[in-house]
Amino acid sequence: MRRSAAALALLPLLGLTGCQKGFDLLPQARSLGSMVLMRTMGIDLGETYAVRVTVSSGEQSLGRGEGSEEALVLQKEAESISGACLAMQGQGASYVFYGHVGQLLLGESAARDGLEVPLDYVLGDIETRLETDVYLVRGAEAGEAIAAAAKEGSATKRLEAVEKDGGLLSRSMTRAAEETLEDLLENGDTFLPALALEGEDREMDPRGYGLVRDWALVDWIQGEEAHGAELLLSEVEADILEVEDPELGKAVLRVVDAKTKVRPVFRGERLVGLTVSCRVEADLAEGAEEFDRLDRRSWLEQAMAERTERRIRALLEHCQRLEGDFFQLEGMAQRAMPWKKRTIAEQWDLGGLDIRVEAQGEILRRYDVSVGREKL
Amino acid sequence: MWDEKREREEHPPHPRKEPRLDLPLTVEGVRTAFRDCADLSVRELIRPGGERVTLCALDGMVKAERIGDQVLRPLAQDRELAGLRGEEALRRMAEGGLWGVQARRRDTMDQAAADLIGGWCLLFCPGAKGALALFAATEDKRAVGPPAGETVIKGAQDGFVESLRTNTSLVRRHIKAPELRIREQTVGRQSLTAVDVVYLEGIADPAAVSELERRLRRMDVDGVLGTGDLVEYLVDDIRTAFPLIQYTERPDRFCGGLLEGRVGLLADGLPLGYLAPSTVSSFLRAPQDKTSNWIMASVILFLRWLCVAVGLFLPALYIAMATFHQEMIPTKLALSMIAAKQDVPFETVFEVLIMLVAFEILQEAGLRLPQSIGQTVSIIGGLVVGQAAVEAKIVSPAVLIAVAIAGVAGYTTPSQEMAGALRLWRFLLAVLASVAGLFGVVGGAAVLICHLAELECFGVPYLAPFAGGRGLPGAMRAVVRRPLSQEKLRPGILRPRNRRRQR
Repeated sequence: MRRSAAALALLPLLGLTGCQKGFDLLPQARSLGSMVLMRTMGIDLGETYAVRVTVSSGEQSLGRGEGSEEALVLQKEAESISGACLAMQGQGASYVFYGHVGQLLLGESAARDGLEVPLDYVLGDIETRLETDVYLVRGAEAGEAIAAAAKEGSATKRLEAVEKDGGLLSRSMTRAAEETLEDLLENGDTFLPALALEGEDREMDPRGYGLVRDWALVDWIQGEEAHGAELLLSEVEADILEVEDPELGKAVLRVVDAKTKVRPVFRGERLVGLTVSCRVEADLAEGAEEFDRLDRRSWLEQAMAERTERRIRALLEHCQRLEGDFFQLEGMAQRAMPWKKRTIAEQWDLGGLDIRVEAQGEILRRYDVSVGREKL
Repeated sequence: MWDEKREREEHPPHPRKEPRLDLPLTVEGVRTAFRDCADLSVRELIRPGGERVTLCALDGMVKAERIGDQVLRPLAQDRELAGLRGEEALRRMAEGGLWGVQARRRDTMDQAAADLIGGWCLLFCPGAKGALALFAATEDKRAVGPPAGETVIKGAQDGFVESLRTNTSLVRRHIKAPELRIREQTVGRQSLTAVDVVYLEGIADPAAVSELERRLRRMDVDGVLGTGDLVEYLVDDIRTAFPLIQYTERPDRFCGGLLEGRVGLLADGLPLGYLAPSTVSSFLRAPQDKTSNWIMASVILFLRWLCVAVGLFLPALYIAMATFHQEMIPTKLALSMIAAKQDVPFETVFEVLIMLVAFEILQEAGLRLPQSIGQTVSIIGGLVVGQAAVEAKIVSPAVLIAVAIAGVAGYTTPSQEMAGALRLWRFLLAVLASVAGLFGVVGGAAVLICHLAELECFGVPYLAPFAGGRGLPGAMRAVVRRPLSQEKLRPGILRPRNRRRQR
């Protein structure tokens, strides 16, 4: 008892001996006050060394109503991402902390070179998070995008706005490093949201998606094909469809939901095709009163279904041309018929499959405030 | 503790002197036993017929009116007594010649001295052996009032007082069953404190009763004046900050414990009752739990457990996350914390420890001062100094908030002793967090659980019902107050002789 008590009492004194550096098991203390949280990281191919890393903090508040500090942008080239990140520690008095990097931008050239290195860094580094959103910068370098955004605020702020607007406007789905890695480890193919630098300010704007095959960027999709991707993955939060009726004029439909199912088609024991069924729901946002009539509503629903079908078909034809399963159709087919999982895996050849797209539209409701009731 | 052996050698234990007062039971003997005692009153009376009798009492311990009405008047007026002398007269007085409620013959000085101290008076007759003790104790004592430390909005407003007999009467008024047993022992060589073991025969575990009595008998101390004088000798393990015996100021709560199968303890001079065995969950139960709706009581009980966790771990987690694991903090919170920490010269660890110490000092100062001044100190210390420290950038607001939340969360624990133990462990966990981050916190939590797991109270695991093989339903009862109509059985962990509580 006495010995245990004496040992316990003396234990804190070990901290005074200077030997605490020998306790490698203990984590290393860092003061939060002398830390800069990096929020966005850009990776490009280097000119002198293999890789160029650009990091940016958000605009950091000085606290107690004393305004905010401008975003800090650091850039380094090195033979590895970790090397560049370490080298950046020497560029300022504060400790540069990468544990809050929420967005990873990959320049087009780096993405075409391969995603393995940057994603492996996110996976393996002790500080970075797997929830980090990954973006591709179309036709430009990630460093350029970050530097341009810092002039108007910060890349973080811009990308957070893009992320929020993406959902609202159905322009861009975000993809976390975790799910990207899952796809790539599954079959080497995936897709990532693309950003383009627009206007004189070179502001980052969503521009469709990049298609990644065998861990490297191979092509881009945008417009109708990009909408097709969102429909295929049932990721439509809000989209506007304008339909022109020869008699009644323009009707505006607000797409509020889409549910897509992929089913494999077998002939005997042979996988011959896929059936992609999409059910789209929309509200009639604008249009003449006559659209409320049952026959015109059916016409609108038919027009919406045809448009949906075209979008998905365009996307899938693109995928078949590139022979890449970027949207994990194989996995969807296997989940639809789990008892044929192995057969589907063995016979999977997206380019040779006969893909049939079926779409169904439904207009749910329209509000007429003049009578204060739901009319449809 | 360190010099225990040397102390035993230098001052060996001495046996109790028997008899304590080796004197004949006479008036002179009483005078000798109580020499230099200003409160000893000896009065000689001449009875009708000329016989001189002597009445001894301790002023302040007896009620003068009671002596006048019940002793002096019959002595002077009773004609039957007037004709009797010596031994015969004393025997008649004991058999009802005097009008006192209680009278008993005493043969030894020890008995007589104890009676005098207990508020009895002694009557000596020439020619008679010994004395007659007559009950005439004063009833000057604090009135029964609401307990200050355990107030409830709905419920009985009576609280234990310093008088043991009043306290036993309060218990009897709540439990009228004749099976209520009150067994008394005298503890303390000098204080001679009466201590009552209270239990319900047929419900309480006889082993727990006899163990409690054994521990009381084993006590050989000078006096029992405070709560600690008793408890530290009765618990299974004193190497812990956690309370092992529950106390209450409320007779209804005390009786609730007896009905559950616990054994109660009341001591003269202490305005509270103890209940054993006690478990960690019993310290988190409040009197109002049974007066509130069961859903509301369950939510509050759960909240209390949550507050225990918050109070215990929040400062440690803050240190661990702000110093070692910044990646765990949500980004926006981390940015706020960085902004708040701008220009603060101290490390987070010291900030938290300084604030925790300051919090304890404020609390101690508030407790030691009269209530009105205590509140002022709390306001000045808590608000003014706290705000000034933040303004002067000595501590960051985030630290202040974390420590304050932990402190306030600690106050939700109904037992002050349990809250105190948790505060001690809060410090320990904060120190461990400052050394090893979350590893330290988890390690500290593991040590805490191991420590609690090895504690027992009268053979009952302290962590019951979480430990002791009660399973999930048992554990749920600790954090949920079930409807009373569903509480059919008494807690099995207390080993009651009759588990069924209701049909």
